[in-house]
Amino acid sequence: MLFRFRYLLLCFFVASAAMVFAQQSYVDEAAEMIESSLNSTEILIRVCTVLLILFTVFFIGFFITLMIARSTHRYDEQYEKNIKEKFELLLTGVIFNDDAEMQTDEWKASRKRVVKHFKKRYLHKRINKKYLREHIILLHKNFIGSAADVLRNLYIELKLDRQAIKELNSPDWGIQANAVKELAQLNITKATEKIKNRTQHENQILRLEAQVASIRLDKKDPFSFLDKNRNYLTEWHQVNLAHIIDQINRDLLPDFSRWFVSPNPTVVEFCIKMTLQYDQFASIPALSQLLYHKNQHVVGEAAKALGEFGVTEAQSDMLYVYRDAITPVKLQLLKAIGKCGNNEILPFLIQQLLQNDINIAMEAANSLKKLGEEGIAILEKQTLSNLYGVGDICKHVLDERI
Amino acid sequence: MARILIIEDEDLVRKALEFRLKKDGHQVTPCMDGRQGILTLETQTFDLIITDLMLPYNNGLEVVNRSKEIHKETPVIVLSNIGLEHVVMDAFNLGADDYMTKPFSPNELSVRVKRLIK
Amino acid sequence: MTVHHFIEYLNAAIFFYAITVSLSYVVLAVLSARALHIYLRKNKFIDHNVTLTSPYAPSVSLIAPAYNEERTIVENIRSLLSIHYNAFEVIIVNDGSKDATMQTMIDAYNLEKVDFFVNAQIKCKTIKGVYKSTNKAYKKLVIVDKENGGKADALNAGINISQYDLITCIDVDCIIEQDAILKMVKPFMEEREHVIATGGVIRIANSCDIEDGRLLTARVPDSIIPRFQVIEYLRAFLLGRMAWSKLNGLLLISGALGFFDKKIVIACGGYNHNTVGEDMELVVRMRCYMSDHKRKYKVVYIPDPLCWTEAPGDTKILGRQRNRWMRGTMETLWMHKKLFFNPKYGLLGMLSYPFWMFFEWLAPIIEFLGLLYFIFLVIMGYSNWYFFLILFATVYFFAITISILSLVFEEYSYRQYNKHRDILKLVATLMLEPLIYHPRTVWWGLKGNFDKFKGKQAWGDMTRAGFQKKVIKS
Repeated sequence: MLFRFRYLLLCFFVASAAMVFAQQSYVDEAAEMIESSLNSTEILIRVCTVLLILFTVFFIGFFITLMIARSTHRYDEQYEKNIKEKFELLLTGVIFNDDAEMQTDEWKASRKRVVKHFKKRYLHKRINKKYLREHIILLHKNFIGSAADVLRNLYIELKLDRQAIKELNSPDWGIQANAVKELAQLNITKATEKIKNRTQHENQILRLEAQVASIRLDKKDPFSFLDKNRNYLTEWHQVNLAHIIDQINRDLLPDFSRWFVSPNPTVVEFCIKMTLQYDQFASIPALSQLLYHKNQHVVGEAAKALGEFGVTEAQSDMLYVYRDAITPVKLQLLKAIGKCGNNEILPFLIQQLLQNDINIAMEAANSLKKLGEEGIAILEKQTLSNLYGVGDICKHVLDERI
Repeated sequence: MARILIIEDEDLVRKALEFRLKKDGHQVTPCMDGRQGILTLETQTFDLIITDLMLPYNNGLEVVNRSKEIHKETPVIVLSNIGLEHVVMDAFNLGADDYMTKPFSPNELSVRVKRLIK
Repeated sequence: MTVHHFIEYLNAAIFFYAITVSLSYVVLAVLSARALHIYLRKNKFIDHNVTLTSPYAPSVSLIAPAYNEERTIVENIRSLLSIHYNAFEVIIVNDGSKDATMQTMIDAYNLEKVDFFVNAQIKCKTIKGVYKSTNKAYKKLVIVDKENGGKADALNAGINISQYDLITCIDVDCIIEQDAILKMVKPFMEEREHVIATGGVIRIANSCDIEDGRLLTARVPDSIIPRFQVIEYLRAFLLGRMAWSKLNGLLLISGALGFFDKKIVIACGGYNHNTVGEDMELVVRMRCYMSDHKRKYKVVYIPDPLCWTEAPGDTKILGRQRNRWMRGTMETLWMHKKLFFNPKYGLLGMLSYPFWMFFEWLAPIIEFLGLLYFIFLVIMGYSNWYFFLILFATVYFFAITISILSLVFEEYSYRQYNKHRDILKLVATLMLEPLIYHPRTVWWGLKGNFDKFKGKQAWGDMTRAGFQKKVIKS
């Protein structure tokens, strides 16, 4: 393609040069042509004039927008900063005197004053309410213990929760999601049912917020949304759920093996991770079964969990599924074997170390090292190996500094 | 009453720490980033250091490392939003004396500070 | 063919070309506005702290090639190590520097050579040694010393050394925002199967307040050349790439900061040594690879300003850079010529590729020819100056309207330059741009074409003033 263009260009240059040289003979014809195209030029001029006016108007319009936007932004920012500084002063005074011995009558009186002050001075303005809500959430996110409790009580006392609950009915997913987030953060359980209705919402963000809220707020069956979850649980989604699960009371955690039979493989993956995270040893037999799951990601995840749990009995199952596994899962299986295997597995690992795939050899070497003395002895012996890479891999693995 | 160095880049947390520790009667020196923190602990002596891990310029691990190089006996509390085992282990291996994860209870922190200063 | 016909056709062709360019800008602007709006709305709900603290966050290898950087390397490494992420390693590849870069690093970070096994999955020059720090506080740092082979080669060496599945390739002298990795990893966490690369916005750091590899305050550059580039970058990133990413037709992820799925990079052979546009070439090749294997894929772009770079401050260096960019574009287009209007590659072949070809490669040529044509008409006695002026004014106002629109986008989204005066400065700059700056870029583009056809290969020294000059005391 490029080639042809190159020649075309060349031809074009030659042609135009020739024409300039030959202009004498063509000059009349050209003049005639220009004359005749004048009409079309007239039309073009008109079109251009219209466009010119249009663009000029647009340009000036954008410029004015820009200046106005900048002024309002600056005003808003200044206002937000000022008001939040005031809020912070008022709030820190109350929340950080959170020792029991500090909660004297004087403190209680000052707290009452703060509430009154807020109501009288600030909360009649809508925007102030918004900023106060934001600020309380921010503080609540950063502190736990009695400081957080004081914040929550203040939030309820100022009746800010009512507005959030009202916002759950908004047609806009953004406003809904924000309200859900706020209620979850502050542990306001009044609207839990309503929130749970949104755990399968088509909007991904609202769905996630509602699920997070369900975990935080619902004390009866916080994980029921997993039962009917048809949607793909993305890694991002899983990380967020795991983050919130980490914050709730361990006694409320369900037996995650309940969802090992879920038709949604991402749900199974997630539940394997949670089983491991919260040491649910009772699920180990079910986990071993998952090595034969039809989804390879699930197999990898199950192997990882079994390895971390140190389930030596699972090594024969792992060997069995190893042969047909895809490479990333093979690596996960090898890693798991390194953690849960015993000396019976050494010949297999040596065999994997000596085959062609470097990534697999590397993982096998790592596992040999993890298996302790005998594995390390094998590695040390293999550092002298003539096979491509094997010696260097063993040296690499044995180097404690890497 | 003790001299405490706080190295924390988040305004809110730093102010809260300052407020709380001053209330407890300590003398507090706040720093916003790792480099300022290291400079301060090189030039002054403190009875306790509280540091975040994710800091601008020099990260928290470097702060712990440097602090332990200069004053081995000055206790260091790491206050971080990362609670992962290997991160906590890294901090302890470098000599940190205590580790707290965010969100934290100012109350609990105050108790730990008292314990370490003794 | 008579002159009459010829001129008629040429008129029509030029007219058609101009209309297509303008319309495509309008379409891109509309798409971009929508995409930006959606992105910002969703972004409000994203708490990157969750990724930061999660044990399930994917691990990332950061790869930065260094060549003759002894003055700044220690600071640059330090700022890379303080990036906000949990599971990552920093790989600095010393690409056979002629100065004391290697020794400086060894001294500053107590490095020690280790028995590193290099898994040479892609080709690169000989690796002389891999170093790790004896200080546990620098556990995440890996230094690679290799023979000189150019940027692409150094990146390939880094890829061979890296131990994680996701890689970030960066320029070591760029200033990376601390949450850059957190933001760039998110698309991978949302669609691990499909996302093959993520790119971020590059901004211009000239005249900004910078301290030890960290940006404190963004400022509009003092001198005019970088200021023109600010406008250019804003337009390209906020207007162009946002829209292309929305269409999933993005062809270029800047070499200054790119995030890739290592599996795919290795499968298609890593960076190409034979082009000066290795960043664009890699993305195009990865796209081809995915299409060839009939796999669904996505190249994502994040409009947040993640990386600040020092732009060339004078026309000579800028000219060399643009010359190189043009050659890079041409080489990439040539290497993947099979894409040209090839329906097999879908949008990539039918839209992205032709767009780049006509509006990136050929634009300077066509503009130059237009100028020649105009001169020709003047010689021929054509003197409808009124028409010419109106046409010129229309084009001019169209150009500045598009530019100011990108400023409006910036105002609506990130507002990096936050003084009132900054806006006035930028508006003045963008009004001058089509008159002063644009003709030069056309010229450099032409020269790039010329050099390419003559067979020039070299990179051309990119002399940087270095950030050291701007160090301010706290």
